[in-house]
Amino acid sequence: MGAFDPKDPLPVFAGIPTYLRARSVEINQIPAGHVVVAGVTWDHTSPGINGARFGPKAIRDSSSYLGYHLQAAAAITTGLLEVGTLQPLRLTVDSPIADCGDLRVYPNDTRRTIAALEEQARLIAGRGATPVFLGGDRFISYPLWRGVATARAGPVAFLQISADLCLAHGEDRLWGRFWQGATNRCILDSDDPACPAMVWLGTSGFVPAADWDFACARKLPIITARKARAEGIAAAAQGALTLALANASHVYVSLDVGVVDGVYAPGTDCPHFGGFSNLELLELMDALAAAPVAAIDIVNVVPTVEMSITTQRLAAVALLRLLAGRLTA
Amino acid sequence: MISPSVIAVTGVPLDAAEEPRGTWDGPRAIREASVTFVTRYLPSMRGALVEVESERRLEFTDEVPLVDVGNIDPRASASDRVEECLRDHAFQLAGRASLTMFLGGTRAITGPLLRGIAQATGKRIALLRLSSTMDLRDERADGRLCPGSSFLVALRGSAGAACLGVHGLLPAAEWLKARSQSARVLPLPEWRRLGLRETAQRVAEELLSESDQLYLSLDIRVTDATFAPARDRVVVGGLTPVEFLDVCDGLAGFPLVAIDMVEVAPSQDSTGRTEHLAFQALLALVAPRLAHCQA
Repeated sequence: MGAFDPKDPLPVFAGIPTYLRARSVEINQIPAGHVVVAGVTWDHTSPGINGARFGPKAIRDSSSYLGYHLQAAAAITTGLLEVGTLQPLRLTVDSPIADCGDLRVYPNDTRRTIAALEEQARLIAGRGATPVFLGGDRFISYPLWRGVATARAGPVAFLQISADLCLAHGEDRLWGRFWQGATNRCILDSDDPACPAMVWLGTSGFVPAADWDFACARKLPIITARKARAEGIAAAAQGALTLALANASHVYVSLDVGVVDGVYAPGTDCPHFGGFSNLELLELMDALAAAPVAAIDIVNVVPTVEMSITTQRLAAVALLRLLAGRLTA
Repeated sequence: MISPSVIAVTGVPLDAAEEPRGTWDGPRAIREASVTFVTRYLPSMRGALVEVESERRLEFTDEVPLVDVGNIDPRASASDRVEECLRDHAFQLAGRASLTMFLGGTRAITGPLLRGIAQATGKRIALLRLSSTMDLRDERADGRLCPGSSFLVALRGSAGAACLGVHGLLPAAEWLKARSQSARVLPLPEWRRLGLRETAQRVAEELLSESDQLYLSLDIRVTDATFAPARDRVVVGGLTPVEFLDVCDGLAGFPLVAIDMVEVAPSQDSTGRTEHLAFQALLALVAPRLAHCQA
């Protein structure tokens, strides 16, 4: 035997930087029942600060910190424990998580990217996996939700965890029809598949009055950050799920990191104040961990505006809190 | 040409002469934060925004009554006549606009600007200042502006003054001096105990009982350094961003003749959140003047 064995494990800071250093797979090799991470390096439909295209890389990098703990000798045999919730986590080579790399996008062609993302999301969800998409700007939710909803047999509701409503309609003079301010309106206007329910959780600050009026006229359920805080984060999450799942078997959860107050997560396209704290976000993730999730996306992590790694680390940890129960045997 | 009904914005990029901390870059950073905000909302706002917690609606007209006249003549910062330059700059603007917003700059700009406004308007102007420091140090013998004596300088030209939010370790001599001055100095713990928004409004009303209009000086250091680190003085225990914005919102309806935002030092905060907070505080103050507000 030589000095090394190719089967020896690599330290977490080496190798292909997948999320949590999960094994890398091609889309056509995704095993059923797995959580599958996919990057969406797209920020051409954001009118705010660009840089969300680097979000997937940043979140994966930040997740290596967690992988370090998970690879520690004691953790391999006994796992980790989140001491606040006593939620156990033990990742092994057999844990049902994989990373299929970044999806194909076409930077100067929005319509082709929409079609391509929808098709790739349909392929991943069609293999019986639960996709976790690392964005990217908020608009990616539209084609990704369409792909997942098409692949699923039953209707898939949409839970938007965001400060914004994203209900712009029609051709904007600057941005056209497809941009992140119109994301949720595109989903609501979708016919085949149709969205059985859309719920907002964590809305705060200013939103366009046209979006607000549309939501009020349609009696769309909006749980503001202030209301969620008053009600209790876990109770608000449960209320949102109940609304979303009234006519749906599964829910697509879209987490816009801008839902977090700018003091805790400034690495986004336009920080604002009055949003959830970092702890409230983690509490929310815990409350949603057992939900019947068809897919998850996390969007608007803009690492280029923040020299520290606070926001991307928060994104990586929030995802883990949401996924922990699904990864531990 | 500025219409008398408009709000004028101007940058005053002056730093402390002896210990520059980067406040010279404050006007640029606050303007950029405003561009980020507008870029995000402009495509879809179509003339109106709703603040979701209060459901307050802001209806903008096509002609938003706001003009940016650029920065003060940069030669002012190198001049031995800084105070005079600042006073003249404020004089020129205050005579033409209904409200002037000064993007600082060190807090030392407040006194000369206030005097220029008082001269231009011929009215009694009271100063309401939110800051973590009292700045009642004796003035320099050579007469040059000094941040540490900025409140003392401003007192001379005002028809009444109050400073809310001082906190942390401060010179005992200044505390004793505050008691002998006509100005009211309210430490942050007491302010918080009395109710931030209500107390700020009550103090504003008291100042207006002896004056015609208010000059509001917002020193970003009144907020906690954890949340807004772009400043020279890192002291914890300041206002949270939500508290700061709520106080500003509560003062929006008062007869303000000028507002300054001082001590934003962008180079100390790589995340940009401090300038975003500074911009959003100013927006909270002037939004009712820029748009038709409906509850």
